[in-house]
Amino acid sequence: MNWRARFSEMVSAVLIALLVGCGEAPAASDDGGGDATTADASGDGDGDGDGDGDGDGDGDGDGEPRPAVPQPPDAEDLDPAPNVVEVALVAAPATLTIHGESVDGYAYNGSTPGPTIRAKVGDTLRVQVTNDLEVPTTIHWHGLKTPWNMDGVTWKQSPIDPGATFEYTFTLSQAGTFWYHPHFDTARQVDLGLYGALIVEDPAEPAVDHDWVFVMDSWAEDANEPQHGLHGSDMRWTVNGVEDGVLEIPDAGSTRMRFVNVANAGYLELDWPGTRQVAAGQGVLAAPKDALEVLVPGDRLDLERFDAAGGSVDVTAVASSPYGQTEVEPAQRLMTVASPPTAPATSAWAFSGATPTPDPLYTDIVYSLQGDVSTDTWAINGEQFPDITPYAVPMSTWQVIEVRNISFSAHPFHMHGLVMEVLSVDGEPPAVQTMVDTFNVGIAQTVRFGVLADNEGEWMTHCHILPHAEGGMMTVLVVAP
Amino acid sequence: MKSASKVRYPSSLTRSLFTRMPKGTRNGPRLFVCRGRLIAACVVSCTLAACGEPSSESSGAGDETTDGGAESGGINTTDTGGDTTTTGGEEVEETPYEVRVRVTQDGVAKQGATVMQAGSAIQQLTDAAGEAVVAIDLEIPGDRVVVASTLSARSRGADAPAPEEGEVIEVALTTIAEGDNEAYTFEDPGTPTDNGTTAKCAHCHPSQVNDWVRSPHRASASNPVVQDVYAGTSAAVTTAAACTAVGGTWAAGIGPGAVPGVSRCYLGEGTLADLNPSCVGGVACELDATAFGACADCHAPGIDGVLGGRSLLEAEGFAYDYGVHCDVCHKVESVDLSAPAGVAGRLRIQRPLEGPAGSFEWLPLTFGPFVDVINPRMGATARDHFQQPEFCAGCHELMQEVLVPGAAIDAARWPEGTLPIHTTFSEWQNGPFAGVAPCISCHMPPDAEAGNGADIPDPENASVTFGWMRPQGSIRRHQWGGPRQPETGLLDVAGAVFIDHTVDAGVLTANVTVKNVGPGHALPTGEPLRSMVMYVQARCDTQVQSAVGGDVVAPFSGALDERDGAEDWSIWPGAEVGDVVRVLRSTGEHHDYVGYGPFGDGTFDAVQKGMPKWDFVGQSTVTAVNGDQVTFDATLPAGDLALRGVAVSFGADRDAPMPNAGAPGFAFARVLADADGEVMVPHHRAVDVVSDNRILPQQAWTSTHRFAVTCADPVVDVELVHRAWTPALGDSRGWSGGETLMEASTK
Repeated sequence: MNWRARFSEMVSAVLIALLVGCGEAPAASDDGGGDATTADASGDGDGDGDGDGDGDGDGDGDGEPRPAVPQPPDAEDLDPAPNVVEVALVAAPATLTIHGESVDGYAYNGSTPGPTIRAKVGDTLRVQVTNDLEVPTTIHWHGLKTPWNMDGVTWKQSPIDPGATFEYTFTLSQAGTFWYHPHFDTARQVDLGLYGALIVEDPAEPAVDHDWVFVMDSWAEDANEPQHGLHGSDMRWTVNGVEDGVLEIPDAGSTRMRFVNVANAGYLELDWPGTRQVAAGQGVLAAPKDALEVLVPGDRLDLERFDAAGGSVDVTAVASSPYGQTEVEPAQRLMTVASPPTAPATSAWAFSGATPTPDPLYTDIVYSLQGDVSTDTWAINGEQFPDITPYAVPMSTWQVIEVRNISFSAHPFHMHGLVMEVLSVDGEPPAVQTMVDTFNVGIAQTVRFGVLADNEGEWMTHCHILPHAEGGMMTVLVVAP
Repeated sequence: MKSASKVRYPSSLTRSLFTRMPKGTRNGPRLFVCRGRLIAACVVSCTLAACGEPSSESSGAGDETTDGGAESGGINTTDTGGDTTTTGGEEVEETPYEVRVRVTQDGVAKQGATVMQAGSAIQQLTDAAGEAVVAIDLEIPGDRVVVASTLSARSRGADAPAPEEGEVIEVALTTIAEGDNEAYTFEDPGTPTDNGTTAKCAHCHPSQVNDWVRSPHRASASNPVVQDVYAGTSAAVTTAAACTAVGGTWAAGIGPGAVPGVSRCYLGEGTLADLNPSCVGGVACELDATAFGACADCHAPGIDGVLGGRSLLEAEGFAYDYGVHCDVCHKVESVDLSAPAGVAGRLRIQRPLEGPAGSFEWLPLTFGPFVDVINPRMGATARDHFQQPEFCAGCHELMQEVLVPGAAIDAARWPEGTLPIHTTFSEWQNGPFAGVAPCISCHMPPDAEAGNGADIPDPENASVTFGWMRPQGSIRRHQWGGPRQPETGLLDVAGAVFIDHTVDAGVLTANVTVKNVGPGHALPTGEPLRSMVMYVQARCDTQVQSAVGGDVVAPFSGALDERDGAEDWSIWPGAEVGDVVRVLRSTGEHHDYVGYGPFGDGTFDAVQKGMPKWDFVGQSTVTAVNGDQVTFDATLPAGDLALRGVAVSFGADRDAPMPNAGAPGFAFARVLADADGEVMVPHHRAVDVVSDNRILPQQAWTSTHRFAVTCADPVVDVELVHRAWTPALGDSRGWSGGETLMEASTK
């Protein structure tokens, strides 16, 4: 069953008011795009408040109801053992439908986003990956500390050839919201739809009534255009494959809403009124955040609804660009959320309140990010992957890594196999301890990380604007015995 | 895989598609443009129309049509109707179309002309018949115009409505009169607070001017440091008495800005004094100088009249106040790297010969990076060099002969007969960033907020007059950030310091690595008076530990005084309490570094690379002064060289370069020497480059330092600073500032 079918099952009723003809009275029902308690003030008389006169509430004038936002299918656990999760994934060509256009893309198990893999800390994860593509592929487990030979990179390793199957297996040691995607021909294969969420639960964390995943991707106006828009300015965003959909909250149960930005290049400045951020890619935050941060390519954040009750709200985002500037266009509506009249329950999150590790003020490694939009060529320390000189550090040592952005384009800096603690951004330490695997380094910014080299391997380190990575902005950090 | 070539715009920029009617509809039904994100707005209008609202007001555009260039003498205007009313409120999807463009130049079909839709990034070249077909992108906001241009003609445009059958759009170009016009007067760039008319660049380009006015380019001629070195003066000394006190001569000459009869303090050393033997005593040499050292060719390129070989003190008005300014750079027609630097030939200036034209004394002529600039005020024609490092090499690359009369170059050492003075361009060209990050990548970064060069981000103004909205990042800042603009942050990211230390038998050995991690050129680069100095100390908690050996800040970086081992080290004329005398031992070796050119390509051996390896022995502080005799806090150890200077103040605010050669640390510079063997001299005096250990891009240098420590867990402090000039030169001229902290590290 693909996600479109699941979407049909999940949403019992569309919230949108139906078409109202010219001059008719405002619809009594909520249109999903406006305030249910107020009459249509748009003046078009259709009652949906969007002013387009078609009454469907989406403002596009097509008279079609807005689609529901589905949840990606959960991956089926093929192993009944309680501490083993076994999943089969097939990467294959697929025809995607993006804002009404058929797109020749790729999918895992016929679904874009691919199935959500759910496991818990301590589980052994086994994933049988079959490559039914016409090209080699791999799977990288973004944010997880896997053994190096399970990391899905082709630096000194081989990809999965077409027609072949490979089993990834490793133990899950971290809780959080992760995702998986190819790390071969990455920009193209991710761009075409190969991605999915991987949720690792920690039994010590609060159990929620609704644990939802929202996989955010961007598409150019011509959905078949490669790279789907390099800049945040010119993209239509989909949430779990649906553009400008409707999410019905069924009850006032507690929620954990996990956002994953899988876009090749697009930044998102999310706004979901009535929520707070409780976790990020590496698990529960040291302290919750009321103001949502920009979600950069490759990164994740988890929200909890805490004071929303009744009516509907729009989840919006201002698309930012790799230039580090908010675009001039107004916020895009990602989806409309319809809530039950009762305020949601909140959970007892164990925010540690941990303070940042003090910056020791010395540096072990400097990564200088260079390149220019005029050349569309990118480098780290003057080297373009694969012609690189990797740094090597001893196992179990604490390393201070300083990333300097000299390229005048922002770069979401991603490190494989290790977790980074943010020590400072332009000399300012974060308010609380911040553990990341992907972190934006803004234009002319210097970000210092503390990294415990506790995972032996040759770890890719790169910008997660995927065209930048393919343009050369990628290197390797070797953790040697 | 790269993104598709189609140019994209922020969606809000496409609003103008809705408010402007396509112009090819004058003989057919009036159309709405309902595409992409415009649909919602379009439907509002359509719905209103369907509900009986007057259709003429339902477009959302009203009567807001433009003539697409009625103000323009640079566009072949056509009557496109311009009526935006609809036919019965009918919504019709406009169909993309192509137009055939025929380009003539001086009445003859022009092959190879560049043709494009204004605002697009897709360009075509005309065929032998002068024709090309341009696909019109309906999503480009603003006037729908096609533009044609050649290197020898100003760009012109024409309205590009959907064509009738067989219709061809004609664009007539006129060849720019060849040659330069010495009668032309460079125009006023204006300033952010003086931009009142279109006669000033700042009127339409305020962001660029706001950047530029704070840049070193703006101050290239008026910079008092430049003027002092040129005339041998001290601008900081402003009275005759003070001048006499510093050993100078107070006399009247020509002042900065070509002001006659200005009394200044002449110190006897300067470009004009050094290069003009006829000048007696180095005083007011500008009155009879005939040799000028080519300074103005780059520092004051906007001196009207004859270009090249002018005196810096001829710079007046805009040429003095604004140095390297808009109208100079945008009059550069081409770059010839084989010619002398600056406007002496390398930057080939072309000032318009046609005129008068209308209200213009001379028909405007502007060279710039974009083809689709057809505002007649600009008279624009495109050149690629505006985005290429070669343009910067027009001045930031200088091989110089020996200029001082009677002095000679060491032909065995410099067989080409020239000295590498400024090599920023070739440092980049031979480094890892060639092809990756051109000069503009850091020094003219993208202006993400600018939609076009006219600084009008509102897409409603996209037009012949104001230009078209360009893809984000196309417009570049004009700030030229560097070491003189700490606010740009470039110095902060230029150098990195790595510390590694061990303690053995009470001696801490620190290996300190300085790496050039940021720029695509050497660190430091540019003016050879610059240097980079690294200081090292060891502490036990707050207690500074005694250095007992290791590398030192080289003598070329400056001391107050020095004595060799044969001299009396208790005699230090001019010494003050608190001065530090550092004792060094000669190792007899030389640092074998990898530097620029012959200092790194194997031409020179370690000795020829000119950096003796000194070893720190010890230091004492002056506690009392009696005449020339001084008393120290501790007996000076024996050694080969004693350098008197001042203490290094870690953690202190950096301002003026301090004389602390011999301190634990290291120094990096291109060291020029004059005929007398004096080092770190202004480049007009140079007869040799005695050493050049500046750090090339992504290269590093590791120095070693030893300290006797009194604790088990000492820490090492390192500070890396950038110096604009030597302590002695800055002190003698009274210049303020000059030293900037680049990096501080503690481990």
